[in-house]
Amino acid sequence: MAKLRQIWAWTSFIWSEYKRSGRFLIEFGALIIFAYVFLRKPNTAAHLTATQFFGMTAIFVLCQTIFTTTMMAGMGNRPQGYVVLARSLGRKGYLVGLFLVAFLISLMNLLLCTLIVTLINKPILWDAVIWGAGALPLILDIALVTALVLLLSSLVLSQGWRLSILGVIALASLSTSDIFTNTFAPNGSLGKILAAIRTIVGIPLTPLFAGFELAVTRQAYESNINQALAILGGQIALLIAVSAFGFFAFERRDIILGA
Amino acid sequence: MTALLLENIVKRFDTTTILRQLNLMVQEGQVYGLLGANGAGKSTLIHLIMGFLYPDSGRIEVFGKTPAAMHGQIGYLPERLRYHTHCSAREYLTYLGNFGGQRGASLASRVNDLLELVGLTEAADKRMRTYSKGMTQRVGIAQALLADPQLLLIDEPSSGLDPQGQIEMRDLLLDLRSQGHTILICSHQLDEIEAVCNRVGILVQGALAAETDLAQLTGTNGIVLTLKETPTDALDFALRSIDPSIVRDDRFITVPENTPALQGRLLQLLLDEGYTVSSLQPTLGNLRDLYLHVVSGKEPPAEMQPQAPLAILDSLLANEEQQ
Repeated sequence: MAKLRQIWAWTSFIWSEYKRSGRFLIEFGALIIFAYVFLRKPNTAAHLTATQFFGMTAIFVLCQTIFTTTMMAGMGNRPQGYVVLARSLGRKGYLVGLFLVAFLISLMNLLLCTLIVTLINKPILWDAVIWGAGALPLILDIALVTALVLLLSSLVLSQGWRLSILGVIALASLSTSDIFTNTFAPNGSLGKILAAIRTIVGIPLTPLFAGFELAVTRQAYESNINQALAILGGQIALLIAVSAFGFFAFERRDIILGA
Repeated sequence: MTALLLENIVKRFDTTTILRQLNLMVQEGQVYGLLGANGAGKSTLIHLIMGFLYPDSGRIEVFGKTPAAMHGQIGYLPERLRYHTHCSAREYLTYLGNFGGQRGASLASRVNDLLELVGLTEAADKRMRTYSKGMTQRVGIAQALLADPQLLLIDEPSSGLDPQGQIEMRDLLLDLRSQGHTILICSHQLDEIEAVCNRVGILVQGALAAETDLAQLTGTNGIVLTLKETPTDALDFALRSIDPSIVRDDRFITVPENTPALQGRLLQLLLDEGYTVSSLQPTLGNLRDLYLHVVSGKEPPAEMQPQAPLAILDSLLANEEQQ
């Protein structure tokens, strides 16, 4: 309990500093522009659907999450952090505080998007159940992206590890790309080997992409509820795995802040 | 009790070795000054003790525990401390207290006490961006003392301070010394170390090149003789009969105020008693002499050569047994 209080104190401090630095105006400005361009009702005949709302909002919020978490990792990687790390808060608490602020800002943006669309351009068949069905996997994706970006920051991983993991993500992301199939003949030896590697390295990230699809379409809830639950479970498992790897790496590395 | 023990510490960054087989011991209540040029490894050493860095090999103990086990119980003032300057000193200290697990009225009272100790009561509610460097360093001392730590690590306390700020910082450190705090100060300011510390170590290229109590650096024209044989207690009596100020420590005989006549009588006595003098060196009169001597690559006097911690522990245990 005492540890949670310390983490919350650190989270509040980082949030207050972020607020006072004025950086939150970037997120707020982006939100206003996004809402004006994509969420407003262009004419009386146009009707937004929940799928369209989540399709656009998910991309916006996830991109904003990458930006905010990068900012947060930068704030954690300053010499001021030494004084905080010297406290009994510890390394894990330090990282959790940074994660929480980035996650809560993104969550707030999602809620604001929902509020704006409900007030100015309510999608058809819009109720709490439909919103919850799309928001739940999206919120888990926000947490996952926050944890991943924090893990891939120079605060947590060394350069070699970061490049390796980015390479894996890039390879996994090629699975649906035409570039891959055009460059390597799928039936050639190299093509087969790369396809196998691509499939293997793509497995860990499957919950992230499946969660995005579930948030946008919400089809799995109706067609196969077990599949939907498996996706949500996979997202939670991946979040735990990424966080655990982040803690493990941060606990063991030499901390040279602001380097 | 041993407050801090570093044994055979090696730290490398890529191919550069920063600390080489470093041994260091600080006793409880001691104010230990670690001198060294820029890049000698002082800050790296402090970061190792704080647990920010891990040694490649060697052992670190703080009050008999690992640095990780002492988390939050070591006060730390970093060099070139940067603050969250949007806060006042009171807000900042209160926030840091919260991260450290302190709360409520007891934290508020502790913050008030510390602000008074460092002389910032009047400026406590002003934003820190309006503070002078000296005031900022004093906030640094206050935050280091916040959790009432058993050990204080202070890195370059007077860095960037004007003369007035340096005097204030020195007075503050002397206050802490008089209160019995155990402190390790890293600095390249000789006069600061000389004024504040009671023991000093000199770090040269990542290794401790010399170590001594500052009280030993008082003579200006003394000599140190090193004997080949370990003398018996009977020799002490004979030495005192020549001059009561002569001190023997194991095989080392220190003559604080040497004269040719005294030196002649001493050498004659040792010859008569059957001892062989293996070396005769002038004592180093002050810290400046010792520092310049050591950084120029010369061997320090034998009694100022650093010992491995186990050797020091053995001699301490032997002293206790004798008592």
